[in-house]
Amino acid sequence: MSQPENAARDKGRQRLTRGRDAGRSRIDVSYLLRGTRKNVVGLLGALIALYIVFGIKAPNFLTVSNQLSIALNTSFLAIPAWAMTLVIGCAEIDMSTGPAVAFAGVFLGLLVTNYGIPLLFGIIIVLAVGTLLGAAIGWARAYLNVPTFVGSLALYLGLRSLAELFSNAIPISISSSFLGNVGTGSVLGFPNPAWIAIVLFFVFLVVARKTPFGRSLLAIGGNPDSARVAGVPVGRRKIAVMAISGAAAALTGIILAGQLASGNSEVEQVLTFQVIAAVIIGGTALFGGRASMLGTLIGVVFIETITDGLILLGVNTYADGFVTGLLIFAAVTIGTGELRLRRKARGGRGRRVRQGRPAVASPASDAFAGPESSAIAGGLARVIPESGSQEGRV
Amino acid sequence: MQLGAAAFGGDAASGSVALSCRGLSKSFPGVRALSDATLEIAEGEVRALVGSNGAGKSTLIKIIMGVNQRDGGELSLWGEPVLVDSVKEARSRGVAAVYQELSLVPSMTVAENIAIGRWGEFERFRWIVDTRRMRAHARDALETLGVDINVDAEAGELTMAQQQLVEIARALALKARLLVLDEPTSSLDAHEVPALFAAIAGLREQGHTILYISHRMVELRQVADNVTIMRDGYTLGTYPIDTVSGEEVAALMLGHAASESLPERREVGRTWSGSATATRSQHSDREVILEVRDVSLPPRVVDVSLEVCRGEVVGLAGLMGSGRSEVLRCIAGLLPAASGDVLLEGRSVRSKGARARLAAGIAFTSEDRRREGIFAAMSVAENLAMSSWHKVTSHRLVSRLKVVKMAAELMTRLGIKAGPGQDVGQLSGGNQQKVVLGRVLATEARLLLLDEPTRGVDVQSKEELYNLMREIANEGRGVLFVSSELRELEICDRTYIVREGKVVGHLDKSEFTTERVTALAMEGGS
Repeated sequence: MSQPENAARDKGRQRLTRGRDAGRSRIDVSYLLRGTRKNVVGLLGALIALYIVFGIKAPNFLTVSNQLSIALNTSFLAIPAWAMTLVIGCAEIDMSTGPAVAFAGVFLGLLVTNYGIPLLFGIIIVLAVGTLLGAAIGWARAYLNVPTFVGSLALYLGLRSLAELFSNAIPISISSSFLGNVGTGSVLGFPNPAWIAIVLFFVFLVVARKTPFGRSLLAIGGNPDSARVAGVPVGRRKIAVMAISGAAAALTGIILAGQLASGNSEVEQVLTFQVIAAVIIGGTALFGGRASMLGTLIGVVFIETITDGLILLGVNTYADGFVTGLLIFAAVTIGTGELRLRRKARGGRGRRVRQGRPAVASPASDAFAGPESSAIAGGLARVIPESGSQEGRV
Repeated sequence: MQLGAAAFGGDAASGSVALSCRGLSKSFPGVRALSDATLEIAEGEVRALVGSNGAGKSTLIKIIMGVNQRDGGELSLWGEPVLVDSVKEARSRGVAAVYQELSLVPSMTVAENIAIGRWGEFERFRWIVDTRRMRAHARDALETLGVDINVDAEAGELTMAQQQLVEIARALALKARLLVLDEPTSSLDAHEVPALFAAIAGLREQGHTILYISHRMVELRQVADNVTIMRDGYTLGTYPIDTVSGEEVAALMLGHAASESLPERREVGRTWSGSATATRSQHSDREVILEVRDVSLPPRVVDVSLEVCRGEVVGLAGLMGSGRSEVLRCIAGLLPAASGDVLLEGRSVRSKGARARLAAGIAFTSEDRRREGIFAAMSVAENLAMSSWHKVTSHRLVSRLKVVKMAAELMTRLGIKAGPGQDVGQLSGGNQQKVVLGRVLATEARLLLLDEPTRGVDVQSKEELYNLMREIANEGRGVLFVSSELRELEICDRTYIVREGKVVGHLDKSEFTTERVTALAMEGGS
C-alpha cells in the first residue's frame, strides 16, 4: 500500500469523522475522492496541462460553446465507456462497441422509417437486441468458453456488415422531434446527451461500488477461482456485464441517431478503441480486478479534449489519430512507469505501513463502542476502497 | 574434508559410491532445517528417502541440487568432494531432479520440451533449430528410459505419467547419472504407476542412481533397494527396504515410538469401506449432518462413504495425491461425482451444483488459499462479505455500516490481526486463512469442509485454527478437516484415512495415534 494512497484514505476518514452524516447519506460526494488513485490524479494533471496548452494556443478553446461541444462529443464516448469499465474490471472485453453503435442507429432507422414501427417500440426493440447480442457473447464466454475478445470481434465484423447491408451504406433518415430533441436539445444550457451520460455515470458509480453485483464483478476479475469457490455466480455475472455493454452501445446509437436525425452505418467505427483507451488510461487494470469509474470519466474527457483542441489548432484532421495515439501511449507509459517505481520502493514502505498499523489493529472491538466512534468511521472509509486497490490483479 | 575424501576415495575409485553426504547442515533465519544428514548411495542403487513434513528432505535435495548451499558437512559425487554452488554445476556433474510439479510447456512437442533451453545444441546455419537432430536427440533420451512416446506429440496431450516420463527423459538428456525423483507418483493415477516403475527399473539396470522421495511404503517396496529415514533434520539410518515394516518406518519418522509399543493395528480397512452403518449406530444419539454414500469419481475417489455429526470435528487423513481433496470437492460439488450420493441433514444434494450446495449449508475452503481462497486485491471486509452479500445490503445496495459490523464481529471472533480495509494480499498466511474461514462462517453454513487449513500457517495460528474448529463444532455445526500433516488430526473426534481414493481406515479419538494414522495412510489396510 503506498503512502499517497494511505494519505488519500486518511483524508477520506477525516472527512467522514468530521461530517458524520456524510457517511450515511446515499449520495456521498466524499467517496468520489476517497482512495483516489495516484494515476487518476496524474491523469487529471495531464488534462489540466492540455487545457492550459490549448487555452493559450487555440483562441476559441476556452469559450463556453466549445466546452459544451466537448461535453456533447464526450457523451457518445462516455456511455459505452462506463459499461466497458465494468467489462474490463471483470477481466473481459467488448470489441463490438463501435459497430454496435452504428448498427443500433441503422436498425432504428430501418424499423421506424422503412417499416413504420412507432418510435418508442423501435427504441425498445433496438435496446433489447443490443442487450441480447451482448448477453450472447457473455453466454458463449461463460458456457462455451469462447473468449469475449473473439466473440465480440466476430460481432464487430458482423454488425459492421449488417449496418451497411441494412442501409446500403446510405444514412436512413429518422424524422422524430422527440428523438431529435434527445440528441440535439439541451436542458439548462447543457446538451441532453451529456446529461444522460452524467446521470448514467452516477448509476454506474453506485453499481460498481455499492452493489454486490459490482463488487463481485471485480472479485471475478481479480480471482475467478476464488470467486467460484466463494459462491459468486461467475457465469451469470459475465453474461450480465456483457449485456450491459451491449445495451450501452445500443443506447449510444439511438442518441446519436437523434443527433444526426438518421441511422448511419459509417459513424463511430473507431469508437471501440477509443473506449478501451479511455478505460485503460483511467486506471482500470487491463486484466481485471481493478476498476475506476472516476478514472474512466477523466479518460473520456481527456481523449475528446485532445480531438477538440487539435481541430481548433488547425492540425490536419488526418494527423488527429496520430497525435491522439501518441498522447494515449504517453499517458499509459507514465502510469506504468509510476507503478514500477512504486514497486521498487515497496520494501521500505511495507515496514512503514506495519508501524502505522497498531492504531487499526483492533477496530473490531472498537466497532462495538457504537457507530459514532471514529474507529468505525475509519473502518467505513476503508471498507470499500476505490474499486479494488494497489496490487491490482494478482 | 581430507578425511572424508580419503574415507570415500577408495570406494569412488571402484566406482561404487555415487553420492556421499556426511554431516550436512543448513540453517535458514530462525530455523535449523538440516542438522546432520549423512548418507551414502551406491552407484546403481535406488534409494528411498522418507520423513514427515519438515524433516529436512527438501533441504537436503536442494543442497545436492545446488539450489541452497550447505552451512557445514561434506558432499561428494562419485568420490570427488564437491561444492555444488549452482544448479548448473549440479547439472554438469550429472545430477538432475524431477520435482513434483511438472514443468513441461503443454503447447510444445515432446522433442521441444526435452531440448528446451538448449536450442543452441541443435542449431544449423547459426539461427535455425535443426528439428531432425532435436527429435533424434529426444528419441534417444526416451529410448534410454525404455518408453515409447511420440516425440512430436504435444506435451499437454500426454497423460500425467507420460509427462512425468518426459521430464525424466529430459533429465537423462542432460547426461544425468544421479536422478532425484521427488514424489513422482503423487500426480499419477494408480494404473499409471507401473510404467514409471518399469522405467526406473530400466534405469537402474543401466547403472543410473536414483534418490526416490515418497511416503508410499507400498511403492517404495516395489522400487527401492534401501530406505533412509529422516526426522527433524537428522538422517536416522538406512535400512534394506525388505527388512522394515511400515509401522517401524512410521515410528522412526515420528520419533516417539521406540519406547511405546505399537498397539495392534485394527483391520478396519475392509470392514469399513462401503458402509457407514457401524458409526451411525455408534452415534445414534447424535444428529448426522453429512452423509456421504459410496461417492466415486474414478480413479481419484473410489466408493467413499463417511459421515459427520453435529458438533463433531472429523478428520480426513491422507498423503499427497491420496484423493482426500477430491473427496472434499465431490462433497462440495466442485467436482462432479460419477456415482453415489451426498446427503445434508438427510436430504440429497446430488443434483445441486457448488453454489446451490453453499447456499444449502455446505461450505468449502480450498487448500490453495491464494488461487481459490482470497481476493488479494480486495479488503478484509469485502473478502469476508463475498459469500453473503445479502446480509450486508439495504435496499439492494451494500451498506458499509453493515459490512463493517459483520467484519468487526468476524475479526474479533477469529482474531484476525489486520484492519478491515487492509488488502488481504498483505496479510500473513495465518490471517489470510482466518479471513477465508470467516467468509464461510458468515454464510452460516452447517457443514464446513476445510482442505488443509493449516498449510503455510505459523504455529500460533495453527493452535488458534484448531480452537476455532472446535468452537465451530460446538455451535452445532460439523467440520470435516483434511490434513496431510497427520499428527494434527489428533484434535479430531474421529478420523477417516484415505489412500488411493478409498477410505482404508477409521479411528476414534481414543484409538488415535500418529503412528497408526501414518501407517494406515502409507500402507492402508493392505
